Amino acid sequence: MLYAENITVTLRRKTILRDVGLVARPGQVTAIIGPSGAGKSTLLSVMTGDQPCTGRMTLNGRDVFETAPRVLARMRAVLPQASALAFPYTVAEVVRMGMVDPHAQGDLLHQALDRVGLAGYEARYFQELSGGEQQRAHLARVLLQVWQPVRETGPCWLFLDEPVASLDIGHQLQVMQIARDFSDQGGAVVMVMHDLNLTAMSADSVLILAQGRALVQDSPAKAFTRDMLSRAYGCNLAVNRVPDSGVFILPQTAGLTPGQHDTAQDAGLRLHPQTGSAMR
Amino acid sequence: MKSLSALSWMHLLLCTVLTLAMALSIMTAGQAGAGSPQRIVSLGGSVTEIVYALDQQDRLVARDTTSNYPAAAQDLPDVGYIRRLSPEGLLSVEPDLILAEDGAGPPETLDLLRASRIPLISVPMGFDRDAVKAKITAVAEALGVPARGAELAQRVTEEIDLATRQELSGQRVLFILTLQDGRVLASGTNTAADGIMSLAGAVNAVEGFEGYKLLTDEAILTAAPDVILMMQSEGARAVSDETLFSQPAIAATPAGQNRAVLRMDGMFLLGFSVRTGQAVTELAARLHGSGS
Amino acid sequence: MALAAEPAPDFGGSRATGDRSPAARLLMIGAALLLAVTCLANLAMGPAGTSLSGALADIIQGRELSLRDRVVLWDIRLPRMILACLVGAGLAVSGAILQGLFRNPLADPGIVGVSAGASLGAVTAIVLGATLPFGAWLGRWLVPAMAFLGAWMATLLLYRIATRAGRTSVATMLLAGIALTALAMAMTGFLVYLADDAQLRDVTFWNMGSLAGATWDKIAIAAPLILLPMVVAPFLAHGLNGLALGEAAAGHIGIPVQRLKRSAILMVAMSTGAAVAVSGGIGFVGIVVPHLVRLASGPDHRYLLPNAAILGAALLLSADLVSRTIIAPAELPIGILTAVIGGPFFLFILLRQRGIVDL
Repeated sequence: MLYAENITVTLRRKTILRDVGLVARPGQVTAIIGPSGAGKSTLLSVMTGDQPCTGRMTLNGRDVFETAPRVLARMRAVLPQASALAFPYTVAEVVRMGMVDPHAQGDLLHQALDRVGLAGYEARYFQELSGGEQQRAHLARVLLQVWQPVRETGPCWLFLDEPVASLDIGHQLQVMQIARDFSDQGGAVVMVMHDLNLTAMSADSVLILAQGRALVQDSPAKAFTRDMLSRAYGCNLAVNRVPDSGVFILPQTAGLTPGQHDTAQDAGLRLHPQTGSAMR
Repeated sequence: MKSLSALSWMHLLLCTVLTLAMALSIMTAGQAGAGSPQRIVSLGGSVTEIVYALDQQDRLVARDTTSNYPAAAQDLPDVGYIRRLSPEGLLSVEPDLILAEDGAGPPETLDLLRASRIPLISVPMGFDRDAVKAKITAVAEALGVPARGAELAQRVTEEIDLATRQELSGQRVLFILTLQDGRVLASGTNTAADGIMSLAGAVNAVEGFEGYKLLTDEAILTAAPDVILMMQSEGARAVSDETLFSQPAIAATPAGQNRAVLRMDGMFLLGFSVRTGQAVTELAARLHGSGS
Repeated sequence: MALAAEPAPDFGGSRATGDRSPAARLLMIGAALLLAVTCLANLAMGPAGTSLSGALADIIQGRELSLRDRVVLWDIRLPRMILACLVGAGLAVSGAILQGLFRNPLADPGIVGVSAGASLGAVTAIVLGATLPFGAWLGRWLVPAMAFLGAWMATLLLYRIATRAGRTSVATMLLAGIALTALAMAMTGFLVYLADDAQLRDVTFWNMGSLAGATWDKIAIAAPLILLPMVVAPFLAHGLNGLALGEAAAGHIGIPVQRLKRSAILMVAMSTGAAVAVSGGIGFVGIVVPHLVRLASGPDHRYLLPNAAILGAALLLSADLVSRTIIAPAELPIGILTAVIGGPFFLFILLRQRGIVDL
């Protein structure tokens, strides 16, 4: 379990977060959404132990600020927003940095790369990859770090900061599926999201942040109301309404012809065409 | 026939070499006594000059960077800068004596010379008549030719005395070591330049500090030199009269108004060695000639 | 669908694994051989012409070595060879550690104020000499001692400035390092103004660097200070690799970032301070050597650090061999040599690499 209570963060006399509370459970995908500058990433860095704050914050019953990095690293992995890599490492070398368990067996590196659709990229220079590929390579590293969603010490956690920001819709769906699978296997996922549709279809629980305050935390069906979203984003938004004209494409309607693509199958991406929700 | 003549030639050659060698050994024995050092490294321009003046240059095997007079000295191997001597470099010329101006180093090298039982004789430095005498005496002692040394010291001190007995000019002289981008590096007290100026009867226009320092424009004006003295240099380092007197501060001094500048060879002027008497004479004469 | 993976680039055979450790191990073997050769060459060659094989034969057959041969081999060439190894390895490893810490391949000890501090210390000792407290007592040890003290104090001061609330800001350290360097240089300039001619030349020569003063005493003092960081370096390697991801990400994979930074800076100050104290300013080894190793076998610090150490030693030994023999019986300050060779070489590498891998 992850409990955050009364989290307040003040930077240079400016209050970034005020009395925010959040609960996240293993077996669930928890999303944090809200407009830019609402404090989403700050809240995530509080949860990963990077941002000092007042309030209470425990992960699997441990105070993250009192836990050694090495212990935390075996408990949770963090996918940062796009960041520059120093020195010309290969993809394999970068992904292998996620191997915090020195006794890990087998061909995990290749499995992890395969999982994010980067099989065969091992020897490529990381810096030569496109932004989306870099993001997925980092995801492979992060996955490798918590390869088993449940360890003997308890469930493992994935913290993802805008994991789909620089991806095309196909890869967005793939990443959402990875998150889904991780939680289905007993792990916990907490992610900062921008895309409301993807959040609605993949998250079990949503925290809506606006101006440093938590408006609500509930299932998407309950949290995503016209009233709540309009309040959070400061503009009129409608839920489940079809526009009168024009073209629109929803990720919920994405489907694959089974057997058409191996990588997609390996990624376990099978979406129900009608409901749009991933099959458990 | 042919082989006989070759043999006799070789015989003749051998005899000549032997005779020469004997003559040489008798000569050197007479001069320096048996067992005196024959492979000498001379460090410091003034010391090298003295070795040549004592006619002992055949015993030199190497010299330092500053030993450039007489010109023949430059044919000797150069062991580098006197305060940064390379131990193996020194050992490689297989010296049996090292004769050095005061301040040779670094100490690690001196230690190794001591460990190799190679004697090092330090020659005292100074910027007056007695210092020159002491230098010559010390070098001559080290070379084992005290009589010649006394003779040379006598001659040089007489020259200096003669030169200083001339009517004193009393001119204020500014010695400029370098002039770079309009910055004047001038001599204060306790330098070779100060010493030679006072021997030549001139007054050092700059007072109040020791060694060579940068002078501000106002200090140059206050110094008010009658004559400017510089070292003769060639190429890019040479400073033309135009450059010198285009400095506003220098142009405003009496020397600037009269365009009175003297240039002399650095080693000759500042060496405080064998030629110091001549240097004083020349400097005094040229001071008389200019400015007045 | 966009899910299609792009076709895998053809790297052919074993290279497709992206694992460069076999290449790095091969490089290590090659570098070690090169080091052995350069060590022997430095013992065997020199202006004094003493023959190493002859001396060895003498020793084996129980003959007494001549005094001159003993001095040349035992008191001149051997300590100098060892000091060149220590200084070369120390500078190269320090450079590699700092570059990892600052996540920048151009970082060198100058950045953390080591060089400027050492220079200020050395110049203070040269100019003020015996008037300093302990000056007369320390004697010839004064210059190296003050250089080490200067390097050490500059680094610690910088670390204090850049550390707030238990976190060291690498960016602050970089900027403060520039300011501190300027300050130290101004103070050095003031001392240079006070200096007389001979002291000025000493200062100049000190800045050019040389291994000429190698003695067993110096090795005894410098060796622990340089070897300790060598022993610690492998423990920093994993952390420095992680740091390439960024400080936060390094923490996320379990690296104690603050402790890593502290030990890295400590090790660099110790090793560079000692190297600079015994050899003066020898530039470029700390940048060129790690860069070469990265080109040959990648930036993985587990191999980069030992390879840089071995190659740094070999490089400095080669430079010293040239420095001792090229203008014999005099010698060229080695700092000039490393700069003359290192500068253009570095530019060449930089220009050639620019298109391939962005620094």
